[in-house]
Amino acid sequence: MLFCSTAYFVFFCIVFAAYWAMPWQRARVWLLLGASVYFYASWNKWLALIICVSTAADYLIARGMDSPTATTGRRKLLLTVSLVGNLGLLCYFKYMNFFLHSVEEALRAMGAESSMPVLNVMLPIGISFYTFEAISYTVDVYQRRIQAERNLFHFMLFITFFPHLVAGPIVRARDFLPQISRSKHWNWARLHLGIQYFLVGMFKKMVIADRMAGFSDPVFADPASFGSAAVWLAMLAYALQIYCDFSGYTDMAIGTAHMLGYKLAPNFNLPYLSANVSEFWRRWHISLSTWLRDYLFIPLGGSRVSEWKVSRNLIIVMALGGLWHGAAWTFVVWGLLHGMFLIVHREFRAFCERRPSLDRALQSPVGTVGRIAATFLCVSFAWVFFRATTFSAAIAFVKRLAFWSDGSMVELTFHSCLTLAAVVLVCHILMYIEFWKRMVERLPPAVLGVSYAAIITLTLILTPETAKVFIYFQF
Amino acid sequence: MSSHDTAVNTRAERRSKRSRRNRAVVAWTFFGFVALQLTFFPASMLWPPIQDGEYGHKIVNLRNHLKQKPADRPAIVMFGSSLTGWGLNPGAMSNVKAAPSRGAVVYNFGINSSGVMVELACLKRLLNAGIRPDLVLIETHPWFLFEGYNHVHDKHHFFPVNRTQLQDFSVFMRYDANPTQLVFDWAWNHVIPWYDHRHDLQNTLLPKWVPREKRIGVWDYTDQHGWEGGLTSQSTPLTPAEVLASAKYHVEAMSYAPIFPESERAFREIVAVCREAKIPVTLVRMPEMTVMREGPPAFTDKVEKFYADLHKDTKVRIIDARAWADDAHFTDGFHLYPPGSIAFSTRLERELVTPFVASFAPSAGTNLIR
Repeated sequence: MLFCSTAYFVFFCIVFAAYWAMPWQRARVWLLLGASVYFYASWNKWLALIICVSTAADYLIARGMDSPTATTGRRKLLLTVSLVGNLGLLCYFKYMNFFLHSVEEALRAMGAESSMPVLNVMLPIGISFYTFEAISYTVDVYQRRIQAERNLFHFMLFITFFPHLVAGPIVRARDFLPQISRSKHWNWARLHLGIQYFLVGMFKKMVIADRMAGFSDPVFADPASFGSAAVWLAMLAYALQIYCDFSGYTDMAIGTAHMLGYKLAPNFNLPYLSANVSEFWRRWHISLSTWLRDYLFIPLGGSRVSEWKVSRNLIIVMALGGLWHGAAWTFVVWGLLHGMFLIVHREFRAFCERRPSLDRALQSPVGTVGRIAATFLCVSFAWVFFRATTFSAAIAFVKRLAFWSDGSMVELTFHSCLTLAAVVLVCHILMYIEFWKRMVERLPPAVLGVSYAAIITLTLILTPETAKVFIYFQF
Repeated sequence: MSSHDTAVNTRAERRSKRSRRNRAVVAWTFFGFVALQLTFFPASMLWPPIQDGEYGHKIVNLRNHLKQKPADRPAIVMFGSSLTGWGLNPGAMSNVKAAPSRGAVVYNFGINSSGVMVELACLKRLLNAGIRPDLVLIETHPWFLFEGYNHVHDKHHFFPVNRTQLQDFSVFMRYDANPTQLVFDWAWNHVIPWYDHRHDLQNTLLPKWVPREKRIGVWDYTDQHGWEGGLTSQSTPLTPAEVLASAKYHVEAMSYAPIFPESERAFREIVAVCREAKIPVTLVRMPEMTVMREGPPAFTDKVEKFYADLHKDTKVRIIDARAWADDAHFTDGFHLYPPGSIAFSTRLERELVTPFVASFAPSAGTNLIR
């Protein structure tokens, strides 16, 4: 059930009406839990059972760790069980075939003949997201940052809350669990905010991302049959597609949560206006980057170690971050590229600090625009490996980028893509100068409301016929 | 009242004002959205292509023809399926092409993948839209005497629900075996009408935004008289053996099926509707391959009996055009290639259009009531 489908529209209307019609907080929690399980089961009911069982196990483990009689050894053991269980499920469903295939390839490269079995498993949608949520919860309980949740239903709702279940944001227990216990009151401001988020997300996903997909998909499928101009444009189109797809999903999730009285953490903050890659990661997929920082980078020593170790930590974190996205070497290369960009940026920053005139030039408006453009190009280049289905396809794409060749252009929707790219740029600038915020505050309610309705209708009209699944659903 | 109380009151007042503003915004959004969705229905009446590109373009085109047509020339409209769409080529008729400003309007209202119930619905739509032809021609072919050929793929509907108009319910509800399901499917396809019909809308208004393989664009291959001959170049041609095999397969399939009573009822209703509107009506038995005409008795007997009974009961004129095209003129056993459409159309002109034009009495009234 996609957020941008008629089925979801009907589903949400029913949940929303029933939720606010109920006077009891406990019943509302049950309703949301039931709706979330139904939402997940609409893809596959057996996978919904897996998430329920693993969530119940994490609940019990955390209770065990939080017990006053629990010794340090027992707590450690329980944490290990939780980590092994969660990561084991993730590895089994997501990485097992990848590992087996990689071993087979490695053996073949060494001259040994081998045939590894292929597991016929279905990837539970959103497993990477809810696994990270569960891990952060048990680690936080182990480190006594939070207390274990007493109420099983509350804990299950924390993991399965349908707006964030399949593609984040990765919520933290300390942010979300207290919200469940708090009784909710109807709030027009919250509803207004939710509608704003939802319609912005809808526009990003349905109009821009899906339209850009029409341009980038054929080129990524067979880059060799297109000219360099088409390949460059496809790379830029994909950069816009993935941003609008994922941030569109997040906006819709945040909007839906607001309408139900919940607040989810922001996940994006105009990432393509970042002036360097380090800043990009503070603005892109914020819930994942902070998770990686808190549960991987800092435990590895963070940046308070020698320069060599910081670089090593960055490479490890980004490579694992890449692998988190998908079970393929292309994702690992994407992560490694970002790790390298971060290291280069650190070095370059240190270099600039020793040269104040260069630093001033880079901080000037023209220098900032140049840095934003350079960062955007680096990030867009890395997306090639993220998007390519195989390593050889990525290399073919990069060759076309690097060595100019004439060839066919994507006739399809070229004009629409250019128009929409201009719309994205203008929207970014408007958001940056807070024009949108000022308009929302100043416009008369009738004008504002009808404008929202018109934007929703325009979005619906411009949506391509075939709805695309959100890219991050596969992770 | 202390300064603290005043501050609290001011804060509360500000909060209440903000709340009222937010409530108004939400209410305007909701009602604005519902109102905008409802505008789809009058908009689709004003500009039919946004709901159904093929039908919409045809009715807009027909209306333009009728506006330009001198009052003393007749308007002849032929309803049917793709057999008509590809087969009737009014541009090949001398009555139409020789003197466009003085000639008769012969318009091809064939709708792809339709059947007799859709012919009835289209006839009623045109009458409801204030279009009154001087002569109605109704395509008939053995296909449409059988149940399976009248339905949209696996659904027990006669037309895709997203192309079904509210006014069609007066027809389809009486013919559909599961009217409740039809209503449900139609409602589900119109929950958010601007969204549900975006494909037609984009195809009509922003064709360059639609991927080539998703373009409907039937009207790109349709000429000003409604002939869809350009579509023949879009399908892969079959070999003569394949054409023959296809025709034989269908004859075989139809030999075992009983005549669909709803088809018979629909043909009779078409005749009744035309008579009520005082419009002469003629059934045209469309060209078919020899293998069909000379099919097994199990097939030909019941088909011939059907037409004989229909003629006996309704006295409707039935033109037998089955042999008006050579076997080599068929794309798949039923649809005509352009040379076949020329052969069929010129013969139809000779047999029917020219005598009708000659005897046409201009006092019959205007073709465009609205």
